[in-house]
Formats: sequence, C-alpha cells, structure tokens
Amino acid sequence: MTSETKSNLARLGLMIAVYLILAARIPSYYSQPGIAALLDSAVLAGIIAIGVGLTMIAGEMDLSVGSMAAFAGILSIQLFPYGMVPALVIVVLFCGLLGALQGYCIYKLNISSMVFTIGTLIALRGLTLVVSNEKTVLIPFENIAETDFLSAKFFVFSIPSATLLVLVLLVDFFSRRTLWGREIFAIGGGRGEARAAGVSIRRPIIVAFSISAALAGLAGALLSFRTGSASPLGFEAVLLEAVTACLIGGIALAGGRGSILGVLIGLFTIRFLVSGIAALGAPFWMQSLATGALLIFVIIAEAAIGYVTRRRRMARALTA
Amino acid sequence: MKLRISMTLAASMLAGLMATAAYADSKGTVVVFVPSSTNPYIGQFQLGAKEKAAELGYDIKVIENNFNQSEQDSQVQQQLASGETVAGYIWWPFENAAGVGSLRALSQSGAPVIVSNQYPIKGTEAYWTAYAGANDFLSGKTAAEILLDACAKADAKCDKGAIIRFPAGVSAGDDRATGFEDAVKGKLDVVDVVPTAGFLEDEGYKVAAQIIPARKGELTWLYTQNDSLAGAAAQAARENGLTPGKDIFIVGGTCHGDSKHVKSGEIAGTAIQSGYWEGWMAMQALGKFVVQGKVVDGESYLEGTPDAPPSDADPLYKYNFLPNPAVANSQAAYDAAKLWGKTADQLCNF
Amino acid sequence: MLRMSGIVKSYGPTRVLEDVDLAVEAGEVMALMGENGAGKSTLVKILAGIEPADGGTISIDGATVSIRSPGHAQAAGIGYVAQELSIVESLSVAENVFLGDETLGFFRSAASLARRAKPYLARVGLDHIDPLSLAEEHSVAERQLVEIARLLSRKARIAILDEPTAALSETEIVRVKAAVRTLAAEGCAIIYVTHRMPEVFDLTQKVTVLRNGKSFPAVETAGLSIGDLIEAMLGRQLGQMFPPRAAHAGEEILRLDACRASGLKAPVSLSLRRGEILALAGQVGSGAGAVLRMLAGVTPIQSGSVTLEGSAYAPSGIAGSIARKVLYCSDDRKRDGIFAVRSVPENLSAPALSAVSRFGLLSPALEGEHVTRIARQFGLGERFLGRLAGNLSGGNQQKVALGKWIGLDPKILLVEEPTRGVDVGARSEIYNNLRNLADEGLSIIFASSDTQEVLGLADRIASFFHGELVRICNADDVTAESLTRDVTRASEAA
Repeated sequence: MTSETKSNLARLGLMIAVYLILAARIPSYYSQPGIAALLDSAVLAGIIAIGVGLTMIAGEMDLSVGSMAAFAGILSIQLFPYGMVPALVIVVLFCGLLGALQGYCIYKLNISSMVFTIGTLIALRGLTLVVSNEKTVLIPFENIAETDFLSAKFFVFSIPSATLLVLVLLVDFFSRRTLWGREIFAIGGGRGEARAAGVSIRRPIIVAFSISAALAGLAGALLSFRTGSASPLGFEAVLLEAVTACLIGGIALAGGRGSILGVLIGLFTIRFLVSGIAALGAPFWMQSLATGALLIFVIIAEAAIGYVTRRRRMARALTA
Repeated sequence: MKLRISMTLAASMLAGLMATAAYADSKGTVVVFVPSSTNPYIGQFQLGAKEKAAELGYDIKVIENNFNQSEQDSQVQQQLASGETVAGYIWWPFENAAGVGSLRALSQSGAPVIVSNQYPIKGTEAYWTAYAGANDFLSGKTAAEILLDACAKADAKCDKGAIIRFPAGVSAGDDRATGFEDAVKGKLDVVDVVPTAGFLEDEGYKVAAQIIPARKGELTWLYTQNDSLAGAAAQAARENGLTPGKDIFIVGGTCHGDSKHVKSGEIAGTAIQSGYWEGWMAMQALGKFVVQGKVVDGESYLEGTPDAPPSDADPLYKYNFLPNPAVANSQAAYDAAKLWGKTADQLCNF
Repeated sequence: MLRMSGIVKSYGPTRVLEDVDLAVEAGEVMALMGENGAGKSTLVKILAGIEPADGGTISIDGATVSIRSPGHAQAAGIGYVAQELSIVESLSVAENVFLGDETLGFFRSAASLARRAKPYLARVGLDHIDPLSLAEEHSVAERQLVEIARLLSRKARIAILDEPTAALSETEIVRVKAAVRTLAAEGCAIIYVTHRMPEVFDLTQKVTVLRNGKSFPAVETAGLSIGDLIEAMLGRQLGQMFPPRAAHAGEEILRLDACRASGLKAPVSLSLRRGEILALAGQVGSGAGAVLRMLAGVTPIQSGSVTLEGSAYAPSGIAGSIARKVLYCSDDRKRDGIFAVRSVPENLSAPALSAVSRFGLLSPALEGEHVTRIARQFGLGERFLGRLAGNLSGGNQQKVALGKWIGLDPKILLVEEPTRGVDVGARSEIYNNLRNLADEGLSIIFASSDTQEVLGLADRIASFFHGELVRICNADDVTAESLTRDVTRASEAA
C-alpha cells in the first residue's frame, strides 16, 4: 500500500466518522432523499474544488474560480434561449479558453498565480457586473420548469451530482494516468527539478488553469440553470470551501502531493459537517467554527504523521 | 469569561439539537431561512419570530447561511430531503432574484411559505402563500412625509436636495428611493442620488462630506435612507457651516442605531422599522394561514398602533406590510413613541 | 563522437569562454576540470542547450548540430545531470526515471512505468529499490543514481555529469562510479565535471582542463600526476597544497570524557590542545559530525562531561557555545553558513554586530574595518565585497562562512566538511588560512570524509565508524590506506 493510499484511507475514515456522528442526530442523513440532497449540496464547491485542486497540485492556486463561476452563470442564463446544452458547451469552452489564457500569462510573466488570479478575481467580477447590467438575471418564469430535470433524482443521484462524481473520476484518471497529468504533479513537486529534467512548464500550467476555469464555468452554469437565476455577485464564498476541501483532502499547498479522489473525500467531510450543523438549526458561526476546527485537526494530524514518518525513515537510513 | 463562552457554545449546540426533536404537544415545526444573525437586524427578526412561535405553540428552526445564496439553496434541498413534516416555511432569501429556484422548490413541498423582508419579484406569486414584512416603498414614503412636514413648518427655502442611498444593488435602497421620489414628485426637486459603500456612519460621512460642500447653497434637504447615515450627514453639514434643521433638512426615515440626532432635532424626524416585529408578523402570518386556511387578495398595511399588536384573528392578505410609524424629532416625542407595545428605544437600539 | 570547437561565450562584457575545444569518443569518460569560474559549467550548459553559445560549432558523429534548447540537446542524444539534482521528490522513482520523456505515449500507468524502469534501475545498482516508492524516501546518492538511470533510459549517447559526487560520502561515490562505468560500457561518451582528484584517476581516460575560459588539449589520465593536473588548472606550481603542520601544540584546552550524544553509539573521549588542528575522519553518519554538533550545542550532551579551559562546558543551544567562544561552521553552507541574499560585508559582520556598534548603533567605520580585516585574512578580494554572498563561487562562499566567525575571536573553531564543493585553488587557500589561525593560538576541530584533506591538514586524527570512535593517532603515523581502513572498518569485516 503506498503512502498516498494510506493517507486517503485515513481521510476516508475521518469523513465516515463525521457522517456517522451527525447521522446519529439527523434522520435525513440516512434517507434516500437526504443523501441525494447531501450529494447535490456538494456539486458547486465540488466541481470547483477539482479544478482548484489541480492548480494546487501544480504548485499554483487559482483564486479566480468564484468570479469565473459567477461570470459563467450570467452568461449561461443569457444564452438560455439558444438551448441549455449549447449554452453549457459555449460557456464551458469559453471559460476554458479564458483559463488557458490566464495560465499562459502566469507562465509567460513568471509571476505568482496567487497575485495574478487575485487580479482576475476582481476583474472578472467587474466584467460580470457589466455583462449582467448589475442585475440578477432570470430564466423567464414560464420556462423555469424546463430546468426541473436538473433537480430530478435517479436513486440518490441528480444530473449535477452524477456529473460531479464522473468529473472526479475523469480528472483523477487524467491526473494519474496521462502524461499531461503527471507533468502537473512534476512541476508542483519541484519546478526547477522538473524543468531540468526537460519537462515543459508551460503546458501543465496552461492545462491546469484551463481545466480549473472550465470546471468553474461548468459549476456556475449548472447551478444557475438549476435555480433558474444567476446573480453577478454570486459564488463569492465558494473559493474558501473549495480550498478547504482540497486541504482536508490532502492536497499540499506547496504542490506536487494529493489526489483528486482525496479532494472528493475532503469535500464530503465538509459537506457532512456544514449541512449537518445547519440542519440542526445551530447559528451560522457554528458552521465556521466546526469547519475551522476540522481543518486545524487535519493539519495537526498530518504534521504529526509526517514527523513520525520522517523519524522512521531516518532510523531506517541509519541502520541500513 | 472562558467558562461563559463555552457555556454559550454548549447552550446553542443543545438548543440546536433540541430544535429537531418535535414535542408531542407542538403544532409542528416552522423552518425559517434567513441570512446570518451576525447582522443585528436579522438577529432581532429571529427573536421576534421565535417569541411569536412560542406564543402560538410552534417549534421553530432557524437556518442561517452567512449571506451566501448557493449555500441557502443547498440548505433548502437538504431541508426538503429530510422528509420532515413542517407546519410551514418563512423565506428570507439572501439574493431575492437568485433565490427564486429555491422558493419554488419550497412551494412544491405543499407547506405554506411566508416570504419576508425581501419584496417578492413579480411573476413569482404562485410560489408563495403570502408576503409579511417591511415595505420599503412605504419607508421612503414615510420619510418623504416627515420631510415635507418639516419643510412646511419652517420658513426656510426647501426645494432642491439629494438622496444618499444604500449601496448599488441593494433592492431596499432602490425601493425606498422610488417610494420617496414618488411621494415628493412635484413638491421637491431631487438633484442627485449618490450611493454609499455601506449602512453605517463612516460610509455615510464619506459621501456627505463630498456632496455637501460641492453643492453648498444649492442643497436644502438630504434623504439618507436610515438614521445612521443621517447622523453622519448632519455632522458633515455642521462642519460645512450649515445648521441641520435650519439651513438644511436631513431625514433618515428609519431608526437605526444612535438616536441622539433625532432627539436633538438635527434630523427632521424618523420612523420605526423593527426587525423584531417583522419576524413576529411573518410568524403571525403563518399562524393565521394555518388557522384561517385562506388568503385575501390585495394589500394590507397593518395599523401602527402604539400599544396592542394586531390581532391573530385579522384576515391574512396576499401582501401584509409592517407599519413605519413616524417619530417626531424631540426627546419627548422619542420617549413617547411606541409600536405594538414596545418603545422606540427597545425597537431601534440593537 | 562529440566535437565542440571554437566555442565562444560572453556575458555582457565578460568573456567566459574563449575558443574552447572539447572532444569525447564513445565509451570514453572525459574529466572536465578547472577552478571555479574557469567556465566548466557554462560549457556544459551550452552543450545541454540551457545557454546559447555566441560562436563555435558542435558536431556529433561528424555532423554539425545546432543546439538551441534543452529539447534540441535531448533530441541529439545529449543527457545532462546538473549539479542541482533534477529529481522531483514527490514522484515515484519510476516516474523520475522517465521524467520529461514524452515518447512513452499519452497514457501511462504507475505499474507499467515501474516495469519499464526496472532494467535501468538495475543497471545503476538500484535493483533493490521499489520503483513505485517516492524519490524522497531515498538517499541523495540513490537519487543521483536515478538520474543516471534516466540517462540510460533516454539512450543518451553523450552524458554530462556535473559534479555528481559533490554531496556524497566515499562509499556512496563508489556506487555512482560503478554506474558511470556502466554508462560508458554501453558506448556512451561521458563528460565528467569534478573537483575530486581520486575520481579523475580512478574513472576517467582523458582530462580536459579549462583555465580562465580557455581550453587545453585533452591528455590521457594514465600518464598524469596530481601535481601536473593541479598545475594545469592553476597555471602555477602549487608546490604543497597543504601547509606544514604545527611545530608544537600548546596546553590542553578541551577535554571530552565518555560523552554521548545523538548519532553516537559509544561514548567518546577526546582532548584538544591550543593551536592544534584535530580531524574527525569518517563518512557521513559515522559520528564525526555528531561530535561537532554536540560541542556546538546543536544536540545536547546526553552523558559524560566536557571541560573547556578547566571548567565544565555544557552549552544549551548555539548561543551557549558562542558565549564560550566555541564556534561552529556547518557543512550545509547554503542553509546555515551564509545569508545568500545579503552582501559579503553584511555576512562577515553579522555575528559580531555588537563589536562593530557604538552605543547600540552600527558604526560603518568599525564595520568596514572588521570586514576588511577578515577579508584580508581569508584572501577575499576587494571586488567580492560588493556582491551578494549567494553569487560567489563555492570556495569564496566557504571563506565567508568561515570568516564571519573569526570576527568573534573564537577559542575553538568547529568546522564540518571545510571544503565541500570548493575548487582546488580555494581549497589550498582555506587550508592555509586555517593553519595560520591555528598558529596564532586557535584550536580547530574539523570533520571530513575527504581522506586527502584529513591527512594533509590535521595534526591529529580521530577516525570514526558507525557512531563509534575507532582510534586517535598523530597524523604522521597515519597513511591514506590505514585511514581508509579505519573509516570503513565494517565493509572490510563483511
């Protein structure tokens, strides 16, 4: 068993523990519609966390995802008259293109992606306000039933939550089993080392940011279709949840470590916790408090395990 | 201190847990969706709703989202999925328009839905039972009346003036400005509408300190949409050599925070807008519907009686508006002002 | 096979390479030597496509090639192992073998990469490690071997190894040397950049020396003596690399009685006299460094006692040892030795800020005086004083790292690997400096895995193996052979 598998199993254990603790108090946690709603509640942050996680693995971080999702939301509702599928495709492609451009700039200018994406975070929000004319855009009420299929449940899955799970599997496969994916890991694990070994830096950065933006666009469009509306000021809080999911899911801030499956585990750990606390009717700050405590717990546990592993490795090296 | 904090934590956790357990003698649970109670007005709203629910014999569960519409959307999904039988919902969306999808989902559950605080969007009438809450057009109108009254009493010139409004995009700001402008049409001249960056003194002062000197000699009145902003405007006016109430009339129109500018007469007057009574009347509306089983088409402006709150036996209209009783600008008037048995001090200082 | 001729390269007005020629045949290991700054790194970077040449031609198998990027170099069959490793720690060993290799197709699985990596790993002597394990779980030497496996996997016809052994101990070097031989046996032409004389004679067939950006015709290693080689590199007869030993040592200044610390498996007893240079000889992990770290207060003394000038000495932390004027210069220069992004004078005065201040304020005059004195003592030219310490050559960095302590008037100087990554010329200077300081009454203990250095510099030698002190002898009674036997005791026993 590799150390990554072990770490993911430990995180899975934590997730199940959180689930069980709350399920003991909230009956809907083990009912079919309840689980379906939990899955649905994870879609937005989940799809976005996949992309953010990928940029974090590359040793970067895409902070612009919230604004990108809001932009995509407005755009998709405005394109609604042309049909939902064409609107979705256009929006995702366009966002992916914007992301690729963003990645290219970060590579070319050789600046920190945190700095650059703070710029796009603000600029895209501005662009969204312009495009939307500062107003929440709505699908006409007579057409709102057309989007109902997005809320329909098949067993516990809806189309959006199934999309999330399929995307996790796809991107996990991509990151694990393809040249482009491994390059993302390589430049995150050691930028200079990878470059010296002949790995292109440009391609993985562009790919990571393009995927991140496309997924943010997809999440924004899907969610806006489901609610039938999009606000230019929406999706502001999603970045924090996505990054928290990545961190709890074992993606290292320094890059090169973690897995997309881990992100999914981290995501559901938070969702179980946050939805549960809200469902118990506790005030909002309990959600913040619990999420923060969970993250700190995970970080401390990681540090402790890392310390023990290093000590063991040193002991092994000395006795070898 | 530490003990107190942990006691509070434990208590709220416990309260949360208990809220899920339905009591045998309860008439059922009412689920209230609101943005965060970190905003004191929303805290008052929750308090009012809880007290009325207790009086009527309902359990109440408040679900907060920290000003995040997508979180509120998933909370609705979660609540609906719980399969819990509820007596009804009270819906205060964070972003009115963006929350329509969730409102629709709530309505499809079959339980009554009372919308509060955010005036419903046209076309969504099928998705809610009744609206019970503030009317920002009314708030603007009341402010206009206070101002016109002050102008009439004074012999000073009263024609051109400006509106310092809530930040762009806040629908309450749009509605109050519209209500105000409709009421002063043909009587006063609105030369400028300037948005602030927030709802409190600092932000109001920044704007007032710019437009007052820029249009000195021209402005005879200012409407600031709440008293915190009005107090800041009064200070800016004084610093520019204008005496509020004499050289320039300032009206906030809704009591909010420090009342000293009203009591001293610097502000032309105010009106009570109470979060407590808004939550209370939303809960009352739900109770009425359960008992009476019908909604009368049309609007009802609940009477702003000083002592007794409106009776539960009154009919429920499609739109039920919270009264905004005006309060004159003197210590005595302020002390005497009451709405439904609570004093202005109780209702305004939170 | 490879022929570089007339290579010219300038950085701005500075001409780094002037009409350099280099030729290597298939299966041949060619040592590329020269002092730091002679142009070795620039030359190999041109060949690896990292730096463009200003003029000259490169031909492989008689055909002229144009190398403008690392990609071109790879396509031409040139593999480059830089001084700084290009192993990504968070990836598996197998992935590191194939890192940057796009010929394996778009889809790849960990298992298939591992299977493909196995034979290459076996050829560099890494058959015992799991290709799926992460690179960070392995030692620096093993990572170096993974790099060589990468060269093998790429079917490199020309391999450039830039100081592959700089950070390794002697036993580890043996493994790398074996891997280099494998590479050569497969018909690869190898350019081997090194500062270590033994490797040159042991491993290479020919030597090309660069001096001040000019190349000398390659010579057969077999017909060469160390003296000749050093002379070629420095352009003058070095005479003696090591200064003469002390005529006589003073009274005892430091005594260790049955001391234990982390990294030591048996108690150590030692003594040191005034003006004496004591060598702690041993490989990495032998305990030689552990004694220094214990004396420096980095690790606590677990048992036993230390006496310094007649009174008990038990430093708690580095500050404690500095207070007793016992100063420690670690082997990790980049991390502990210098402030890379600060100027040389700032580095030199950093430990002695109170000595160069008046009334709590830094006095530029005192600081200047202090800095010039150390610079003169250590042969740091005026022109280096304006630079950032990180931009100096390894030798000059080491002078800064050592020199900064001298300002504190130490009684005992503890130095770990005094000349790691330092070129021959600077080495000789550092040895002379240390000896001069000893002659003025300073006592020095240094730990080293370099046999030549131990034999040449020390008055007495304490040899260590696997956390135990083997023996203490006068340097005159020790030969290279006997010392090597002492510090590798177990490998002989096995």
